[in-house]
Amino acid sequence: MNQTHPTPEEIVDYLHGELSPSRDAAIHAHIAGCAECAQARDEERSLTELLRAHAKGQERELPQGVVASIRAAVAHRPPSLWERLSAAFRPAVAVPVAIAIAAFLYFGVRSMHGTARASTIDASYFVDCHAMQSAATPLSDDDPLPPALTSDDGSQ
Amino acid sequence: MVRSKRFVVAALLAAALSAPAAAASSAKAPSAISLAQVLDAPSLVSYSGVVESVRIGDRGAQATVYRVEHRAPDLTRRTYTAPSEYLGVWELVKGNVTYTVDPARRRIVETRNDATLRGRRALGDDAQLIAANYRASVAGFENFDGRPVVDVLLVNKHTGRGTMFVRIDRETKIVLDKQEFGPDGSLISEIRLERIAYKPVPAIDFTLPNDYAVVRAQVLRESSHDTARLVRDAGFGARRPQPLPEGFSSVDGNIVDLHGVRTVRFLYSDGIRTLSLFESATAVSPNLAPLHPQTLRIGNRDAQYAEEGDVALLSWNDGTLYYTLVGELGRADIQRLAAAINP
Repeated sequence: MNQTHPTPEEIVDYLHGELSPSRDAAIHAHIAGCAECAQARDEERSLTELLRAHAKGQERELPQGVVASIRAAVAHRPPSLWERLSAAFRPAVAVPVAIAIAAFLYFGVRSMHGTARASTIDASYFVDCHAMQSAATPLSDDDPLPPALTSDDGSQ
Repeated sequence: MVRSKRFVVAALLAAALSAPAAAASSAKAPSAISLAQVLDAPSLVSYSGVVESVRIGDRGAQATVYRVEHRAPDLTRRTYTAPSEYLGVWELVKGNVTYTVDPARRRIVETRNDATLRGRRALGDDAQLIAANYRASVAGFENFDGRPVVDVLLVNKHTGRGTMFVRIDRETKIVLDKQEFGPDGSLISEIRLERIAYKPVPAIDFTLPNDYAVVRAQVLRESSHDTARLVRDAGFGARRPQPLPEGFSSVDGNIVDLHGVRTVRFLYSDGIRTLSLFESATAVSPNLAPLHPQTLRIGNRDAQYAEEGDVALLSWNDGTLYYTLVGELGRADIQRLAAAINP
């Protein structure tokens, strides 16, 4: 196992598919053997899903920079006693938990509903992926409808 | 629209050049058209017109109408007039980025598709694939919406079926009409460019509103031709794609995260038709329930089959890997290809 843990930023980029293929593969391999990083990944994903679920429920897009502002607020806030204790025992957990709490306060209680994990994905997500990929082939049709308005993140 | 039409013409000519007997059988050859001219045409010709597109599935059809304005070399704007929920929505395409402007929500959705970069690199390969699998036949010359066109039919060499019919503007080399046919010969899609006017389009028409919120939407990473590397980087025992019946070859692919499940996606093509294969080691599948799925057999396994518009989806597992095939193919075709993937 690679002993160099990915940074939180790299984990975010990994989840959003922003890394180069080689770095993506390296982080995937690392996470497969590193419980701590796997937990960090799961927590980051949970936060993203929470925010997306809220945005979807309210039929509006996630406000730009909201995650960044939450992170900044957490980073600049003096640590509480509880956070210091948590950090002492579980440093990888404290920040994600604080972020989740901040997100909860930002979006309100209602957004806690309907965020369960799913094992199936909206079929339109597969169709859209196929359409985007095949758009580069010579005899493809262009999308007849704006894909950004006909699909979401695919979660059920 | 512009990119697709550009490649359509290029590919057709490549195919036609590979089938001189078919072209020679026509009563009158079109005026000389070089491949270079065709490739350059969309980057030289500005135009505006109205596009009418229809896709026909087993359970209904989807029609779209939009006004298109193309400013050479690479700017395209589409303004939708139908269906009604898209009335007023317009898109601006710049290279591999599409900006969808939604006046009702006062926002711009930015969608980046790095996979489109592949088309420019692989044009030669695609043309060869078409030539390998299709026979081009000049069907005649006529006027279409006031423009002189050459009609070309592409016939699949493996099935003998006419798969695509196009009308190409003989002067500008722009495709004005494209029809695609299903396995039974029925029309499954048509896209027409009508009321075309070849004239400069003012740059102001391509200006985005500066007071709208900009939202990033789906991003598709650039794909790779190196399927061996994709298999190696998958992180699970993905199957390396093999050539499929009817000339389908794996042309590229990438690794995607489907709701937390690492998935390898391969794109197959026979030059005209395309097929995406998703493979994962963890159970993840499309939710076909709203599409009234049917159960088919792939080898000794059950598979779920459904259609969304003219796109077929087939999902199954072999006990080790989970597969989903997606493509504009009929049920029998996609079942036969799945059987070749997973005999």
